[in-house]
Amino acid sequence: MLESGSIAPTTWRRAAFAGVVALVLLASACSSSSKSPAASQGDTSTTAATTGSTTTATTAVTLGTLHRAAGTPVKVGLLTTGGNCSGCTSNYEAPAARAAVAWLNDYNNGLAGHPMTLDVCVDNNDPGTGSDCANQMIRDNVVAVVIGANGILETEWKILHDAGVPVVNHSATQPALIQDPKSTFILYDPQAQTVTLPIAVAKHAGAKKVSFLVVDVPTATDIYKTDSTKRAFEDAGIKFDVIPVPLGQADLTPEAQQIVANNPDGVVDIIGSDVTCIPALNALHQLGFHGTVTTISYCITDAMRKAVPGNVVKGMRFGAEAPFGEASDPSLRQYAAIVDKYERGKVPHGDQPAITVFQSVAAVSIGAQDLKGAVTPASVTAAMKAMKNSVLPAAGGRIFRCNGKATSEGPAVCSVSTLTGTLDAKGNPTTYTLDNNDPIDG
Amino acid sequence: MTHVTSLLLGLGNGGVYAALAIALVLTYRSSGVVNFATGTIALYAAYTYASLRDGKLLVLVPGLPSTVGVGGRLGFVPAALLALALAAALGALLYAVVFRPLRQAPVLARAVASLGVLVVMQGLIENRLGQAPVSVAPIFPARSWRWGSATVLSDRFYLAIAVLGLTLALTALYRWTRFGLVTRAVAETQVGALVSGVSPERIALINWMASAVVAGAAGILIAPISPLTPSAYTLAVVPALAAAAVGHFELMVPTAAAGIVIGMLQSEALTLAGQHHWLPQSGLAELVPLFVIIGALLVTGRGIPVRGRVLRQQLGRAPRPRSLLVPTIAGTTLGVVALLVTQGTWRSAVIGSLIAAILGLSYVVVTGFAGQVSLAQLTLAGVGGFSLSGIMGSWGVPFPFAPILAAMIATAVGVVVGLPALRLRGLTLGIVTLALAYAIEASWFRNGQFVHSAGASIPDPKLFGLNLGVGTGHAFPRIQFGLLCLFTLVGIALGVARLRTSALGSAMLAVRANERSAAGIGVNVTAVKIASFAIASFIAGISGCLFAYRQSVITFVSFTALGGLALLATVYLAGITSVFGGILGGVLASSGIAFLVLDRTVHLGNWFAVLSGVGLIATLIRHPEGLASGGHDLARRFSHFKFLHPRRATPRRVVPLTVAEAPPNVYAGPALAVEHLTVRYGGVVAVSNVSIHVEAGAIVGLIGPNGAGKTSLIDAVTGFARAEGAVLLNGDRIDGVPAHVRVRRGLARTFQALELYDDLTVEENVSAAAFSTTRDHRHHQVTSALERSGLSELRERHAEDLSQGERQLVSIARACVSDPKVLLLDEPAAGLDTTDTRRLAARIRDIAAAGTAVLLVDHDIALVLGVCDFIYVLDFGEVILQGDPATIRADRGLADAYLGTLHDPSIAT
Repeated sequence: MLESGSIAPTTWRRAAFAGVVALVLLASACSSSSKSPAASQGDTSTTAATTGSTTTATTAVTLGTLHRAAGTPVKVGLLTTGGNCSGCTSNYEAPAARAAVAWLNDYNNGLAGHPMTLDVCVDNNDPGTGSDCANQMIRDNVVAVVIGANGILETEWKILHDAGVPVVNHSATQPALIQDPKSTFILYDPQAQTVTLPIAVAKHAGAKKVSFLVVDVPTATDIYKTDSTKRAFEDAGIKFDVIPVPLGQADLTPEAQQIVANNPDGVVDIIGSDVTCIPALNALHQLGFHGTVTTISYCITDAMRKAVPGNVVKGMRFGAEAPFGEASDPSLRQYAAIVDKYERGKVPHGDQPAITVFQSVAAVSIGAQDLKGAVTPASVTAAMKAMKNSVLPAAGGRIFRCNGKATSEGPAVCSVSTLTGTLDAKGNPTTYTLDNNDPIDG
Repeated sequence: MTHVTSLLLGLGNGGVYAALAIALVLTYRSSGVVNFATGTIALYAAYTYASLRDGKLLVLVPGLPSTVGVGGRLGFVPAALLALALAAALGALLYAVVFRPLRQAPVLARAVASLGVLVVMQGLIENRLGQAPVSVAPIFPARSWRWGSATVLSDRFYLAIAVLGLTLALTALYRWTRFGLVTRAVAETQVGALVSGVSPERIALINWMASAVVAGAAGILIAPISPLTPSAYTLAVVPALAAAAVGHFELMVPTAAAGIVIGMLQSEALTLAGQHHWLPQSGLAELVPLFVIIGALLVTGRGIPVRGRVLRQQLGRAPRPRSLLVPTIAGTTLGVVALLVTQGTWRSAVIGSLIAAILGLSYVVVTGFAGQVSLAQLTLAGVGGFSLSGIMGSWGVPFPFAPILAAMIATAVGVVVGLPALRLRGLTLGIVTLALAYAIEASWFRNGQFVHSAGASIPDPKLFGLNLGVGTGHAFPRIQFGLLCLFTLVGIALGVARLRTSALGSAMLAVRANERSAAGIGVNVTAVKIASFAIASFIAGISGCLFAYRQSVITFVSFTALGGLALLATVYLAGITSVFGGILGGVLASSGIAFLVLDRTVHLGNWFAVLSGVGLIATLIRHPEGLASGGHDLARRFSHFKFLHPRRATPRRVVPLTVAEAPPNVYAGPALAVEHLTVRYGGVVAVSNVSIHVEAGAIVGLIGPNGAGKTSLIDAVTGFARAEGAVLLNGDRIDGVPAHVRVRRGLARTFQALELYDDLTVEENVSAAAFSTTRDHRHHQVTSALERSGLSELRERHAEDLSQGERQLVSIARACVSDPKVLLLDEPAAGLDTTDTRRLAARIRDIAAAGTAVLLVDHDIALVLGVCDFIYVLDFGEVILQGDPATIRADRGLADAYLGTLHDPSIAT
């Protein structure tokens, strides 16, 4: 088959490819474990089309007031799975982060006067590569690291945390991260989707119990074991249970039946991407579940809209880090204008991981804007801890402040607001409501 | 009633498993491939069906548009038929391009190739269609039926019925049509098919198409249950394999039933976990396939049938390391240099290779040497890593005791993983270990009750105040840690090389070659299997500990069951039967240096995975026994050259008998006494009430026509067949004693098929049977046995290179190496020419003269009459005549019936 003269080197080359197999299979095995959503590119276009691209076209959007950073450059890191590993959906995190850096350098004085450069490391959702990436960040002297949506957060976080490098993530729920007093910044209240919203939905519906349908991996299930979760439910006088979904299981009728049997009129909160929530919604519907269903934004995709009957999802409420799909929202219009200006055509406007990574990069620049003196991991951390109440870009007006006092769950949480969307009969988010968005006490 | 409902609601998942399982069985039955890509073929058909329903045709060929319009949405029937036709075409393509070239490769090679297909297909689908889930409209009416408090969903019910219907139709097709008959014939024997004028290749092609259609039908039927994603059915292959194993990869109906039962029990497990909080809240569902498969296999005790083929190949040769000094020094130097000249990510990749190489060596021990297919080695590494976290974190045990302790825990778990090996062989065993790995992953590594969401953390290793940790940031990865990994690898590699040349290593290779024959030369097969799992698990545990030290935090992501499959593929590709292959596997592993080089030099983006799968398949076709085999062949050719010459120079001499005096025989009775022995196979009586005596130093013949029960008698005497009656060795009862113990007490045998270990040298073949405790004495025994058989010149030769006469002598030398009291020879003259037979006769006389009692079974009546002192004639399992040669020769009836003309003076004298 091959020219016989060059068998040996060719074979070596070919054989070397085989090493990739391990990675590919590893990633595919764990892909559904990560909270990374399967938000598709098409997702945006549909929602945008249905909710008012016309307004986008007519109203001018401001990118802010020019305020260019002119000092010596500093590095900010991004750890992303990229889109080349099996099951990895973070293709757009890197361009969104680049757009954020460019915009912040032009309009927000960079990082306290220093233009930021982005140090990207693609970890392929592989723990070994992840630890390499985390160490590379330290070696490259980055002053802060943004970690995107992935399934290996704990590995990367531990290395950076031990080295004192501030880590910004938009929605970690692991207790170890939430409770870190040192250098971890989580932009979205972990309980907003997992506790606050379901309790609110239960109270509204007069239900006595919430059942969580969660993929059975520790990163997803651990938050329900924390005292603060238990306390919040006790205080609200509502019971809860967790129905774990085994990884890779196709049909969720057995899990749905658990809920129909034990919590027939209560609230179900589906914590999972569309891959989990489509079969869950359909199974609940088929089994005649009478209660109320709530979910998270990663469930709300074109695939879900196509697969689940409109009457099932109509009125369904879900928690979100940003008003995804609401093209008329000023913060998202600004975001769209920014990515179009700096990374034209590279970032679909509705891609959720991209938006949350954009928020995270912005949080570094805004949080540390009052920093004086040398920009180091320690000074960035200190400046972010000392920040004032600020509005997070591309987040529907959510206020954040990383002084460790936002919630009692843990000092790493920077925000306590809940952004809740409601679906219409086509499965499109019609309205978003922003609650608990009061300034955080100093 | 709750339980009835929860069982019935498992029909959906059960239907999925059953559908995939029958596709697996069909592929295996027709082509001997355990096709891990079955789920992906199903997925391809399902995606194709889904897009046709939308009016588009899916095109996976890179460069073309990913879909083309077909002029409107298709209905169920045309869409399904077209999708199935395309699945058939895919099946034909896979056969022609991948599995036909590999049709004579080892079973494991073909399974690994199917992993390559899985990667390619999944990568293509991902690249062409993206990750967004695709939903399919229901095929069956979806209603919920209730009676009492029980609920059934109609579409799940119909799915299960449809799968069962498909199963019955396939069963009927293969049982009652000519095509089915021919397929079964080919599966039995390819030679048979060839001589009856059927092309096995055409049959295989049609069957590949058929099995792809069945997989496709499965995919289409189950698509409405759950949205399609590129990795949708990947994990479902574990329960599906378990179901297929229950049906022995042969029987459709039990397979489908097992699939449905697994789904139903998983559903019930969920209900039980919800009701009883003392039950594990995680991983219960994943334990179900394991319990079902172990239950079914242990009850029936059968494995996957090995299909008859023209050329039956097992694993590649496991060459004997020639010199350890040069490779050790060269390898260590290379490793030190690689660590010194690199830094950062590059050094980290070197360390990744070192750690993966250690894990590769664990595969070499358990699969390469002992022939036990384990798909759980990565999981065992995980057991080591997670245990280390507990041992160091909670108990405060210091380095290096902590990793050793953790590896010992991995050893204990590994022995449990290996227990099914006592009843199972080959890939059946592999599948059970996969189910176990999957269960351990779910119920331990992924279980929030044991591992919390921040992962399991591991403190740095420190020895006498010296920090051996991997470090962070600028220091990462520290050279100290690299050297720790390197020296651990060197130590383990030396240990594995040493194992290969040890008595245990020979015993492992003997077990790998043929368990029956291994037992026949006194190898304790059970102990060897357990030992191989224990050693391999210890090595895997050590590698897991080093990985944990490297990571400082570990999670289940690094130790998944499917990741273990991928690693096996890499190690197999590198060469699973040698130390060199194991280490090469580390270099090629995804965490290793070769991967990083490619990642940094070739920018293939999304196509990296697809091309890696293509590379895997292409390499396998070229090197079905792994890449390392190329190097070994070179080394072997060289060594052949070296000692062919002296052999030509010195003509082979038959060493004159130099046996020490016969040992004092204090026991006066017969050395072997068989009393009233009866052997039954089911209702058939093979041996009936036979009594035979053989005195020390005597040669007793046993003759009779084919089917007379001669071999059954030998099997019963040596413990290979169950029998009634008594067997006495020097007056001691030995019936009821295991076969290998009988050998050790002094009852040796040879086999009709010789059962030599072809990839071992003559010396190793003989040495494997020398079970003396001291090395020196073993060496003495082997040398003496070789000399007595005139094999001294051939001691370095591989058994497969010998002539039939030489092989026969090796087989006898092997049986005699430990100076047995009784020797049973099963047709030693088969296939020998007159000269060889004469040499054999002389050899048998020598053995008897040394005091051994010999029982000779042969069809060469001249030989028997010539050398034997006494002869028994057996027919229909009974002794019909006995006496000295003259008596036998004088019996006219016998002479007419069986012996014909038999006065060959050349031997009788």
